[in-house]
Amino acid sequence: MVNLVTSDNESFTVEKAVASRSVLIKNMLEDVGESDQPIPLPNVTASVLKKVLEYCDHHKNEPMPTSEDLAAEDTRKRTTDIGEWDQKFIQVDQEMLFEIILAANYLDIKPLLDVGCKTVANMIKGKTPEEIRKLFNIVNDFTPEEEAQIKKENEWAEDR
Amino acid sequence: MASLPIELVHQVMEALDCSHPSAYRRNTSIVVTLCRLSLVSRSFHAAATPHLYRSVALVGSTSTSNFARTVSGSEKHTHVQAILFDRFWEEVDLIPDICTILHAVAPSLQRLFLAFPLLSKNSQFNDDVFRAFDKLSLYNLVELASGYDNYNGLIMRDYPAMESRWTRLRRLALQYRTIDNDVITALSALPALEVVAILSTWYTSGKPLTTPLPPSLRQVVVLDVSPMFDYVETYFNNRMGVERGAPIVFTRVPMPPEGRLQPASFVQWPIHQVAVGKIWEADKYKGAITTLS
Repeated sequence: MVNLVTSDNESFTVEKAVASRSVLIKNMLEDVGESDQPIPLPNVTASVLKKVLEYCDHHKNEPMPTSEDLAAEDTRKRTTDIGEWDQKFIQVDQEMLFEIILAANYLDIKPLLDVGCKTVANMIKGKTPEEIRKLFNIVNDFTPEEEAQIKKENEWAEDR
Repeated sequence: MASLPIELVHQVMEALDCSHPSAYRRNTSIVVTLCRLSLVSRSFHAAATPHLYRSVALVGSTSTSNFARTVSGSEKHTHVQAILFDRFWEEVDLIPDICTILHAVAPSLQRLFLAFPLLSKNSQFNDDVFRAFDKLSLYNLVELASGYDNYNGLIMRDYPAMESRWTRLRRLALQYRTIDNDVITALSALPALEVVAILSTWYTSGKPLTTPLPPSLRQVVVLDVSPMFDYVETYFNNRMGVERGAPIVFTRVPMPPEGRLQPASFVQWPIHQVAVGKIWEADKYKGAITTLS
């Protein structure tokens, strides 16, 4: 078993197979060898880690993606489709969705990062720039002239 | 409220663009969304621009003129890796705009699809087209898909000195080509050529194929096949391939059965296979496609 400690000082004891879905933790375990030492995760809160571990537990028996798999992904037809279980899993509020993406990136869990990014990509489709700003909590820092210039530059894409 | 760092916004945009990696034409909703993302903020503009301009399909006169204006007045052309020109049958006046675009994108362009004849007998712009292709051939072009007879006029113009110009061309898709000894000899002058796709062609020369195979050729993909291709398949797949110790993979991709396509679609079907990137799915030669960057 592996003991993980979150940024808000909560401990989670999980199977090695579950924790090792994270490449970061897997590498740490390989580096320190057999040890009872808790692994600190200073960038992840308990509520987010709980959710991430739920994902890792569900997928613990699947083969880890190899670098060859990741390279092959570039040559295949890509899709924004998400598996049924993953879809239900990722039905969380936007705050949690972004936290899961940040945690998946930090913990190096590529399949979970993909699920999160695809979910956000699907949320963006059809939204106006203003709606996207609200979604990402972003301020429009263009001058009106710059905005007009970009709209003009993009006109080629509108005649399709 | 949590926000995503820009490197993760990049990944979201990558996830958004689910087009085939070899596609020229992308889903309209993807392009529109990328346009809107580029208007969100300066950092989003910087993130969205490479995705938006990576693959450009110009399928009308307005979009072509607008794109020529964009590449003339900005640095956006540096992101263009693939470009498709289509539907200009009666719009010869657009050729200068196309040449402007080709000149601008030449240093970054890897894949070009001309779905219409760029040269014509009486065109005053043929010299401009030649100059644009002179520039293209010296850079990074790895894939050329040519509808109609651009091959003779634009590529074969450099024959037999193609070794020193089209040095990176690895994938070639040609429409309405007869496969004969002359064509195979000409293809041998392309030093990096790995995959040839023949769209809507026929074998009619009647002369036996005896020419040595192009040195780096690994696969031939033929769409819209007829029984006359049996002899061509034997040539590529068995006799000559075995002789040189490296058999060529010969892939036939039959058109959908009659009744499932409108008559006009029989002409457009092979073009569509290239535009959406499907033609290269037939590629069974491991390594031939995957190393495209």
